[in-house]
Amino acid sequence: MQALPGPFKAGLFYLAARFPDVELIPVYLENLHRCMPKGTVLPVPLICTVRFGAIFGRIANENKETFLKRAREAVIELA
Amino acid sequence: MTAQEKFFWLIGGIAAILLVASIAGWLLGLRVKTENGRAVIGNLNARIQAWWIMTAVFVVAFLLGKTATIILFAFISFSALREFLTLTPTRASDYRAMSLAFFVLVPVQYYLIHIEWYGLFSMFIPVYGFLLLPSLSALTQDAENFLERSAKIQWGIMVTIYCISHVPALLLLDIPGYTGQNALLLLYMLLVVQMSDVLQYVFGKIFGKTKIAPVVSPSKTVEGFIGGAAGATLIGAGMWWITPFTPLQAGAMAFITVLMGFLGGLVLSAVKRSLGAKDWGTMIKGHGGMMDRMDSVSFAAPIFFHLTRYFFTS
Repeated sequence: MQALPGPFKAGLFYLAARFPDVELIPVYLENLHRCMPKGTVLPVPLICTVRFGAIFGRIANENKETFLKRAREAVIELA
Repeated sequence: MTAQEKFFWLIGGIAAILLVASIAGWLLGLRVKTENGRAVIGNLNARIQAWWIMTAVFVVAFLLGKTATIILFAFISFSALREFLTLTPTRASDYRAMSLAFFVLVPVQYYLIHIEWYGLFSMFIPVYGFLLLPSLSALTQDAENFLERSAKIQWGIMVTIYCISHVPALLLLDIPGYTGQNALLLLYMLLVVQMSDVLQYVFGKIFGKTKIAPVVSPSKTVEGFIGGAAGATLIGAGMWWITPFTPLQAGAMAFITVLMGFLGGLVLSAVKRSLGAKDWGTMIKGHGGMMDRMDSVSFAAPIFFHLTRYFFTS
């Protein structure tokens, strides 16, 4: 049962634009949605796996929508 | 011989076997040439190393006494349940049922052993757990795959908490003429089950040809099973002096324990495969997860417990 992240919010885009030298690395946290579903306080101790992707390539003058879409896909690729 | 002396003889014996195994593994490592052979020996040596660590953990727990032993098995159940539920597809609406399992059922089940409340120990999970867990899930109004989800969670809890808790439950049996020695019986049962697993592995690797259940558990062979079962039964009979049994009774108990252990390995292998995994986890190096080591114990322990309780307690 794979739960995919929702659409990304704009914050990531503004942060990336403000710090052009910082490397962006996609990270997927597997099983986190099962350990702590929305609205819960205490995690159920299931085994979670953290997956790191390759450095996210930047494209000059990319608009916000395509950047966020690409970023989300980079994370989903690790799911 | 006092219980203390028997205990040290037993530990000495296990250490001697492990020492022989370590040396054999090291020699095999020197001789092996092929890529495939190197992988097998590498895994063998990782397994032997893990056995040293597991033995050390158990010895320390036994020396510390009853409470430490119960806590150790509570931890084993907790880890096994973790692996089981991680592989089980659950939904957000199962969160409460899973929380109940980890944070209530595990501690309560082992606390009941600690206070020696046998009646509630034997029905707490099959009755109260069985009825409360699906109730919590149903209250969230999520009916999708409801029966499958409830059944899987219930099954995991039965095997990882209820069945495994029968190992330390041996401590609460009142066996005439055996007072204060129950820890030895616990060790005896674990020894028979694990020797059976190890010997099945060894005989299977050396003589194994005919697969018993190639789809469910490709490593189980007829030759391995016969060699391992016979060997572990003989060892079990030979260890009668640490049990309340006669040599013949010890042999019979060991044989039943070995059979149940085999079935446990087979069934849990099928469960694992139906959940789409090869190993339960990565917790014990060379062996896989906690459940890969406890699968045979989980089936053997309740039967060993009840046979002992029925025939040997007053």
